[in-house]
Amino acid sequence: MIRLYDYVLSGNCYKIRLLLSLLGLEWETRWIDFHPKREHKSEWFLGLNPLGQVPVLEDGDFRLRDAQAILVYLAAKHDERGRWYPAGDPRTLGEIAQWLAFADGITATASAARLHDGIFFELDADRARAGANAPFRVLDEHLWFQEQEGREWLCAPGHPTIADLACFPYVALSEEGGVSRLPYPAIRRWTDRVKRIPGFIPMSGVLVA
Amino acid sequence: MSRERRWFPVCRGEEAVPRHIVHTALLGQELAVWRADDGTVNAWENRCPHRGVRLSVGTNLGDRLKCRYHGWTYASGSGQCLERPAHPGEAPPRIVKARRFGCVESDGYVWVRLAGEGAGDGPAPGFGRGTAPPGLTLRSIHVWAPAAAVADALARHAGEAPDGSPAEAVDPYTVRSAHAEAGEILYAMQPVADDETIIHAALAEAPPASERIAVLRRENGRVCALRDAIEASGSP
Ligand code: FES
Repeated sequence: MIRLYDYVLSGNCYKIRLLLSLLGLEWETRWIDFHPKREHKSEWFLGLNPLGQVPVLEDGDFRLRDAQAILVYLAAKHDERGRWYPAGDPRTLGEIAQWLAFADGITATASAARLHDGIFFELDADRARAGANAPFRVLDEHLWFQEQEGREWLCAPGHPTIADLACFPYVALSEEGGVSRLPYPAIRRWTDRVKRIPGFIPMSGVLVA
Repeated sequence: MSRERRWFPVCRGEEAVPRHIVHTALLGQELAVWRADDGTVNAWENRCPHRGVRLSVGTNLGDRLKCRYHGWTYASGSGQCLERPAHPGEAPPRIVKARRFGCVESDGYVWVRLAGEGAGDGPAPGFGRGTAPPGLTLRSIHVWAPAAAVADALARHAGEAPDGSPAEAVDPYTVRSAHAEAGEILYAMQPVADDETIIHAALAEAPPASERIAVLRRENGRVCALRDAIEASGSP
């Protein structure tokens, strides 16, 4: 049985729920009380993940932390069609790794604007702009040129990969943190496409297309 | 001439894709721009007449826009409210309409005007090249700076013509330059808000198909570098 240590407002947890749902898998949830209990810093949770971060995944006797790592594992193990993480395609795997690292970068900026120890707070608009602008500009430009080459997703294949899921939540949630997506029209077209993937599930703050 | 009565480009026509809502703004007025399945492009105030929720987070149903909040729908073209799910079987009052702005498609762009009827003030929507549409529309670039500063920077830096002739400021929102590699380039400013501008740009002549992507990348890089310089210094 797959078990997910999950926090409802975390974009990193949401992307795991999203892939589990898209793969049609069943899983069990252990909700972590971020606020006010700070359960992610409790002794028992630090035993699961010394970094004190959600999500953590258990699949039988195998345990894994880090959202991007969990996406790789789940797609490699449980996607029979091999589309979400195409194991035999070195270029796509390289591209995916590149965007997984990028997703960590947007997590640090856009989500810092959104979540502070589980509490929403108003971020200074200029700081949010300065921090989130740089990666969002990179993403918008990349997606625009992908469209020019007839591609709808972050990586080369004609279908979405875990790279899209890794980058999606914090981009879609960024407006909650005061980072407007008005300057990023190609990102807005792409988030519409992600929301239309069959099996898409929303999270609080992510609207269905 | 009032800015409200002038036509401004707000997006490339092909970026108003079916079943999508473009979120943009003009002179501080937020817009929801969307294409109906029959091809009609609508430019509406980005505000639901019911309780003011942004229409750009709603759904483009092909012939009507549906508000995210209570599901009221508004017809393409007229903006007329068609449905109010909380009042089934009761026709919405005629007076309930999305607020529409003048909107036409020309030269590969959607052009919007906030006020006025008929021909209005200023140049007709388009790049003013008569019957010849531009050969290639480039990626539009968003800049955190006022339109006047952006147009001024473009006029001073975008030229680089072989004979050293500077780019020409056609009017406060339009710049034409003759570039050594790209030939004639047309730039049209979209004044999004006081400190926010989108540069829409097009090449007069289309490059050979085999060079299209390379040319798009080169021109994108050029305008992005200018954007970075404008933002870094306030005026490059
Ligand atoms: S606010 Fe749009 S339907 Fe109520």
